[in-house]
Amino acid sequence: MREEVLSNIKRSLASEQHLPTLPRAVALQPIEGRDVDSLIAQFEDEWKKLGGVFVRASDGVGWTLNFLRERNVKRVIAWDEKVLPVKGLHDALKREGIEIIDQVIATEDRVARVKNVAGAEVGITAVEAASADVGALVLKHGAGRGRLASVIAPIHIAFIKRDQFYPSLESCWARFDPSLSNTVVIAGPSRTSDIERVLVVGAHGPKVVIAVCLE
Amino acid sequence: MSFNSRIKTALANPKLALALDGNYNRWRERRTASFAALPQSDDVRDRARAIRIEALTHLDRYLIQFESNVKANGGVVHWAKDAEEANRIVAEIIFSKDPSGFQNPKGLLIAKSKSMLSEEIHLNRHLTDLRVLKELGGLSGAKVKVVETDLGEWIVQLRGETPSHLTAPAIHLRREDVAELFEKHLGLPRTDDVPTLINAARDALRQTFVNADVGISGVNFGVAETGTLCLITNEGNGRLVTTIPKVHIALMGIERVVPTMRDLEIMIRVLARSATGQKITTYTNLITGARRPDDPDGPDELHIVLVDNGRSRVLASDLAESLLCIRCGACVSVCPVYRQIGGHAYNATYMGPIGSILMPALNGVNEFGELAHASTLCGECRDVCPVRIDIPKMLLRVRHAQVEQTGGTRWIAWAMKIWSQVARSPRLYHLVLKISSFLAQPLARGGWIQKLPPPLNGWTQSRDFPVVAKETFSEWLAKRDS
Repeated sequence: MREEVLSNIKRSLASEQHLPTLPRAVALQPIEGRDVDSLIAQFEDEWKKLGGVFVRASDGVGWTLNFLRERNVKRVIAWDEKVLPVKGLHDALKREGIEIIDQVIATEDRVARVKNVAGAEVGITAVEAASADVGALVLKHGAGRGRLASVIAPIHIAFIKRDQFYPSLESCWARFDPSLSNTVVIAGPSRTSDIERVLVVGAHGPKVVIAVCLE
Repeated sequence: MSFNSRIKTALANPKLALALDGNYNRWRERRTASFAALPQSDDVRDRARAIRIEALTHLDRYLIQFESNVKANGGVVHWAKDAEEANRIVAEIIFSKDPSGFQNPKGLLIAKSKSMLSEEIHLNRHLTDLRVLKELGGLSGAKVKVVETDLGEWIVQLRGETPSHLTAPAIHLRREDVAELFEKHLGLPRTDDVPTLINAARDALRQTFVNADVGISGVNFGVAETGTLCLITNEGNGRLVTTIPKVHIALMGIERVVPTMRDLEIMIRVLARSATGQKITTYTNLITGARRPDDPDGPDELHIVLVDNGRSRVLASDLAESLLCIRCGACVSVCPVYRQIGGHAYNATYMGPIGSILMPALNGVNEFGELAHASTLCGECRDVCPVRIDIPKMLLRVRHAQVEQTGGTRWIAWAMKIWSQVARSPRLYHLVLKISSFLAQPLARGGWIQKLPPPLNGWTQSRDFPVVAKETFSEWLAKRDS
């Protein structure tokens, strides 16, 4: 019960205090921003250490089509055209005969839709920001930007624009928007070390995450 | 089985020490490297500690703020004073619904992401108890299946065990054990290739994610400023469980609140480094309320159950500092006692150094106070704690409280009384030394006693006792000076 819990807390806080005193406060220096090229280089380094794949592409649509053709991919889940930084991708995929699975599952026939989505071979998204110091992508979810595209398929392709690289996770934090239901920070492919602490890449999420830096 | 016999059983298992040593070595190396790469790491840990202290100092205020922000974003907040209430709330959320709204009305499927709090309140047992179903009447004749989706949790669930570590639940097992388990449950041919084992688990659990009616998760932190839940996982199961099912229920201990998003970012800096030695966990999932109308996916309903279960009482006790804990498990991994006996010997939800404080703090020293004696007080736990909890000090307090309450072991109390008399009188002291030396000589082999007679035989079970010298120091000194 709400009132009971709250009044118990208040009573405890009003009694003799056993909580430790605050430690000395030292200012934490923010990680300085540097020029974009060194941020991208640092991101690439950290991202690869996490087992991520990093590519630079001047033509995002062309690169993607090539990648999907090489692997004979037939079904993808992708964010809506208007929220992707590569224009014309959806049309190009359709022309190629690649099915773009509807990412909307929040309907009456939810499970059927989930089963359909689970058949996606590749997920395609944009990002909100990329953190160079830890090698992580920040994805904001909302209209046209589903959560599943970055987690359900074995391969995830994420497009990053040059102006989306930030020096630290702290500096990415300003991009957080509490009016959205979900934001995720993704650091490389899914992994587990639950068996003998042996690191294995590819658990419930993607085995391969490709960060495509658009030049 | 008593704590002592559980320890003996654990020590008799050579595979356990091997598994735990492997865990320790790999964890230690990664942790050291990841903290070395964190600028001002000592200052960051101080800040993390300050954030936790601030949150607890004004816990009521931050919880109310958290609640109102969750509500403003379409989430529902429930408050539970104890385990019973928490279990009832979760069961009511699930079973009071119209069963036809579920995919599996005759066999309700619940997918769970890791939550130590759910272990603390024994939620799985409660939800699969048919009497609970009957009482609530919602899904008559239905069966309920709760599936843990964190790989380690799933392994221990299939084995009918409890987690043996806070963040690495199946760390007591070797790959052979997992291979044997998967052969039995999945029909997977025996293999010692870990990726093959993981793949098989991934395929099996995919079905659970896709078909689940309800997702249940824990919470790493709740942010008061925004009403945001932070869930941290490496495997991605935490994201699937909170995205696919229509209903998401999150269990959160009342102490897990932090004031601001900025504070959360500081906590993230130290959590993964301490838990697994990663700079950051693969997925940091930030959930603010239920699905918005134009979101393509995510749950229609978000329920957050704030669970007290003794925490508000601990806040007023001299073990209050233990509430700073963020369950990284660093103290568990590093503990030399844990590394010998493993998690199951504690027979407790929370094991290792912090568990030996939390268990008696939450449940009373009568039942769990003895755990605090399984410590060498070496202080490694305090050194690795990301929020610098003075664990050895707390352990001593638990020991003290336990002796006060239970009166301690009677013969030890007597022996101490006699000892204090002896130690106060130099003549008596020397006399006792002489007698001990005389009695000890026949037992000694090469300066050590390998086996003491009862009731002192416990001491020599796993170590030798130095023999009392024939000549005392005073005698030696007097001889030298004469």
